[in-house]
This record gives sequence, C-alpha cells and structure tokens, in this order.
Amino acid sequence: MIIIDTLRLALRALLRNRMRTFLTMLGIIIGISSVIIMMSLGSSLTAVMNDTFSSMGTNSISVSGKWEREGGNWRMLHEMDMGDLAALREGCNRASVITPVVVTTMPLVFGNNSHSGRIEGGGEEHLKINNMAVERGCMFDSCDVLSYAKVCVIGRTVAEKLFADGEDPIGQTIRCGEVPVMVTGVLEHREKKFGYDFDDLVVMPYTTVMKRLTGNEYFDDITITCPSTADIEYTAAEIEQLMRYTHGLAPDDPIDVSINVQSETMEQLGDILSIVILVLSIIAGISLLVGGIGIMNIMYVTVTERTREIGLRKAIGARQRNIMLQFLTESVVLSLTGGLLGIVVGLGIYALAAAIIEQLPFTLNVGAILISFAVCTAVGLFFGWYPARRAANLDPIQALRYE
Amino acid sequence: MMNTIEIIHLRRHFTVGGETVRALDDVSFSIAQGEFVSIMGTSGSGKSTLLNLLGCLDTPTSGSYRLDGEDVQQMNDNQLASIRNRKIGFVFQSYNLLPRTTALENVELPLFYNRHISPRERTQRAKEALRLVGLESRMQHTSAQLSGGQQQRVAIARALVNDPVLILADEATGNLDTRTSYEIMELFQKLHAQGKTIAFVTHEPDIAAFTTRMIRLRDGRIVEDTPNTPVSATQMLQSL
Ligand SMILES: Nc1ncnc2c1ncn2[C@@H]1O[C@H](COP(=O)(O)OP(=O)(O)O)[C@@H](O)[C@H]1O
Ligand SMILES: [Mg+2]
Repeated sequence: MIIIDTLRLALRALLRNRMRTFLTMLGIIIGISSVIIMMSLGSSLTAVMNDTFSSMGTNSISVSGKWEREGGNWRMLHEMDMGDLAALREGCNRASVITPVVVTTMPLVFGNNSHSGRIEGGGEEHLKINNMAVERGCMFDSCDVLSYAKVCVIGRTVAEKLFADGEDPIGQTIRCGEVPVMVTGVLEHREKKFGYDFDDLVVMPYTTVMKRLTGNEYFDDITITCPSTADIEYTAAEIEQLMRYTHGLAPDDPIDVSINVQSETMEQLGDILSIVILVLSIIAGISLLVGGIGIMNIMYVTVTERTREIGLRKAIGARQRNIMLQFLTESVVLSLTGGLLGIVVGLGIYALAAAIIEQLPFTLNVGAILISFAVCTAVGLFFGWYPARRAANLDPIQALRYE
Repeated sequence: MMNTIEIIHLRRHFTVGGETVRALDDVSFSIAQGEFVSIMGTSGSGKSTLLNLLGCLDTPTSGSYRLDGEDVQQMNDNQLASIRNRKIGFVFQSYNLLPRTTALENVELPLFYNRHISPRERTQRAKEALRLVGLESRMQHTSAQLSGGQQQRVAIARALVNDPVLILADEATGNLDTRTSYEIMELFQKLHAQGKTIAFVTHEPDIAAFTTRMIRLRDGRIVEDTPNTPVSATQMLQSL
C-alpha cells in the first residue's frame, strides 16, 4: 500500500470522530505547548540575562546602604558618603574604577519645552562601565567632575522632548530645576532592559548633582569595577572589611551596607530560570505521558471497533505489516497533529507573553519545534505500537465473525 | 482442463476443552476451472471450515491443498495473504463493506494491497467491476445509501476486481429476500457463464439448484457429490 493511501486512510478515520480525536490530542497539545513555551522562554531569558549583565558589567560590585525594618518603618542603617568613597579608593587593591552614583529626578527646561528627566550623577567612567556611549559630542572628564562643572550628556528621548526637530542640542544650555547646564553630548540609542530606559536619561558629574542640584551629601551607591571576574570575590571580601573598619563595627556586628556582586545576581536569576524550566518540563512530561496513554487507549478502542474491517482487509490480502502500518500511521498522525496544534498554542501564548512583557523578546526557537515533532513522532510510535500489533495479529476468521 | 482446486485427505481438527472437534475429516475432491459448485449441509457440518481452508484463511491439520497449481499448505502468512490477494475473491453473508466509504472505494480495496497496480488502474478496474454487477450509477454511494442486494453486488464487484481464479461465497444470499437472492444468483450464473470458478456455500436447496454441482457435507465428511442441471435464475425471476 502506498504511503499516501495510508495517510489518507488515517486522516479519514480520525476525521470520522472529530470530538474524540480532539480530546485525545489535548494531552499532546498541552505537553507540546509546554515544551515550546519552556524552550523559548529558556533561550530568550538566557539571552536577555547575558545581554543585560554584560552591559551592566559582570565584573562590578555595587555597595549601597542597607535598609532595615524597624517597627512599621524602613530605616537606612548607613548612607554611603565621601568617607566610604575615600576608604574604598584607598583600600581596594584590585579595583580598576571606583565611582559613586547618585540618581535624582528634576524638571528639565529648554525654551518653551519641558520634560521630567531622570538624572544620573557619576564619574567620568560612568558610560564606559555601564556599556553606554555618546553618539555625538563628548562625555565630561575628570576635571569636570572635580570642578562641579555644569555639563551633561543627554539621551535621545530627552533630546527629542526638549529640542525641536533639526535643532542641535550640543552646546545648548538647558535648565535642570534652577541650574543652567550645558549639553556636551547625546547618548547612543539602546534598547530598554527590565524597564530601564537608557534613552530617557541625563548623565552629569556626581559632584555637580550633589553640590548644585540636590544639595545631598550621600551617594545612592558606589560602584567598584574589577579588571577581571577572578578579582570579584577577593574585592568583595576586601570591601566588607573596609566598610566594617570605617564604620567601626565589631566582627560579629551585622554589616550595615549591601555588597551586590552582579555575577551572584546572575546566578540567582539563573537558578530561578532553571526552576521555572523544571516545572514546565514536569508539566510537559506528565501531559505527554497522559496524552500518550490517551492515544494508546483510543487506538485500542479503534482496533476493537474496526475488528471486522481488519478481518476483511486481511481476507482480501492485507499483510500484517500493512495493518500495522495503517494503525501506526493513525496514531502518529494523531499525535503529530496534536503536536502541531501544541506548537501553535505554545507559540501563541509565548507571543502574547512577549507582547505584554516588554522586556521579553520573541525569538522563534526552531530547535524547540524540531524537538516537538520528534517527540510527537516518538509518542505516536511508542503508544500506538501495541494497539497496532494487536490489530496486525488478529485472526481474520475470528475478526470477520466479530459482532 | 486444469483443476482450480485439488484437495486430498484434508483434515481440520479443533481442540476445545481437551476434546477434538473434527470439523473436517478426510475430505478429498477437485474443482475444475469453470465449475459452479454449491457446498451444502446443515449448520455445523463444516461448510465454513472448508471454505476458510479453500480461501487460504486457515491452514489444514493435515492433507494437501493445491490452488491453481500452487501448493498452499506450506506457505507462511505473508504468502497466504498474497495468494488471497491475487487468486481469491470473497463474498460474505453480511457483505462486510467498509462503513462511510463509497462503493467505488470499497471495490478498489483489494487492489490497494497489490503493489503492481497503479492508482489509475485501480480506479479503472473498480469501475469496470461495478459496471459488471450493474452498479455503474451507484459508484459514489456509501453502503448506508444502498439496499441489501446492492451492497451484496458491491461485495461481488470487490471479489471480482482482482480477477481471481476462484470466487468463494459463504451464505451470500443468507441475508436477502427471495427475489433479491435470485437476482444475486442470476449475477453468479452470469459470472459462471463468463468462465468464473465459483464455490458457493449454502444450506438452502433452492439456491443450490442454480449451481452445476452439489457437494453435501455431514459431520465434516462428504456424503454426496453430484452434478446438477442448473435452473435458470432469470426464468425463476420471471415466474415470481
Ligand atoms: N475456531 C473453532 N474452534 C473450535 N471449533 C470450531 C471452530 N470453527 C468451527 N468449529 C466447529 O467445527 C464444526 C463446523 O463448523 P462450521 O464449519 O462453522 O460449520 P457450518 O459453517 O457448516 O455451519 C462445528 O462443530 C464448529 O463448532
Ligand atoms: Mg457457516
């Protein structure tokens, strides 16, 4: 029997009982959509994570004040200040860059245009360690930092809000609150990550922000960058000692700052991701098993229902392998169709999630689709095998007599 | 003329609960090409057992069977399937058409299992067989849309489509009324006139009267084997 005929036969038999066919496929649909979601999620989250952390710099440690709950209120145990900066700069032997960060929000005005902008104050290395760059103009330098210079570089969104089309922001003076600040550069565009908009940003020397804009003498955090990942652990330990010493803490006192190592955060996120993937794998595995058993069950029903047909086919010359192939084709078509629907459903859910969650990119995972097809074929063959064999082994005389 | 069937000392015993049932016990006879033989006997006399052996659906306990010059008793399952596919046409009491399948597709069925026949030839031959049984206008009807007599005609067309050396019918008129039975017998007589070899199992003497030879079984043995001058089914229909 030609394969096309066998396929047509299988499709016809399955279409004869549409509801039954669909219900049988449900397990496979759920299983395969889990596989698709899981693998797509896995690959795109890994990509996002790697991307984000390489942009943050995996070789950096950020030190910030520690919050503590006291009664109903949160209280900061310690605020990072010039003393901490000096101590770290003095004591961290293997660090390459140590720079404080201050963040604030201020109304920005140019001419008749205004915009409420996020202002980041940092050192002259601020762009470099955050994987950003100026597109046009230039970044401020260490002199500007030392002299509280009223200069800034602005993101693309800020430029669009404040300046008319075609107007060059560079060299113009905008007002941050009451303070006039000169724009020296425009930042290169970068995609948003985890809700953080790299385009809606003004970067200034931290000294300028603290002395001229906020009057605040504390940093939000101090970022320490090391030349290589190998130095991170050593430096983190060094920081803890320096902070304890500077803040006069006894060895068994709880530390009053948080020391965040980026690679640790990455590991934690990786752990969460693998738990999510594990849960989805279990769902996928269970529903594929249940789906497979469903297929096996329905194939046994089909074989029993069609006993006379099988008897007739054998009487008119069908060999065992023809019958075997006929029913195996049916179970594989059943599970592959379920798999196809599962792929569509899985990609649909994933696309929907990607549309809702801005940070989640939609990437078509071809590997996941191929694996799904392979799994479905295997499920169809495995669970269809025994029913098909029973059909193939039927005695034609008995089968023709079957009521 | 060559014998289509030669059976010698054929036995078929079944063991049921420790006891041996001699469904066929030392049966020998030949059927020449072009004969129209009825196999008669009461219920349980071994007619179906004999027909299953003749149709290569079953293998004998002992004895030999030559079909169209080929020794059948030594063959394995696949070879038997191939013999059935090429040399035998079955007609059953309950038609055994596939449900929700057109007459044409039902008739094409045996040719699906013959690798040497192309889809084109398959359809062509099926149409021809349906024409032969007078159902050329019902090709696209499914079994549910056909009467009992028409369904049996489709089944006969299916038995003819592979151009078999032997047509085997087991109580083929058993589910039909007298007129329709005679119409079916008229068709068998027409096929016989065209040279087909037919073995027709029945327990009704008036049906056996249409054949050219009567073999009677009792308790698995042949008790009578006589030539017969057949009654014309066409005439019987006119006199109804
Ligand atoms: N598969 C079987 N197992 C046991 N006994 C059988 C089997 N097939 C037929 N028989 C017995 O063989 C005898 C002949 O049966 P069968 O050929 O069907 O008779 P008929 O068709 O003439 O009515 C009966 O006694 C029946 O019970
Ligand atoms: Mg019988």
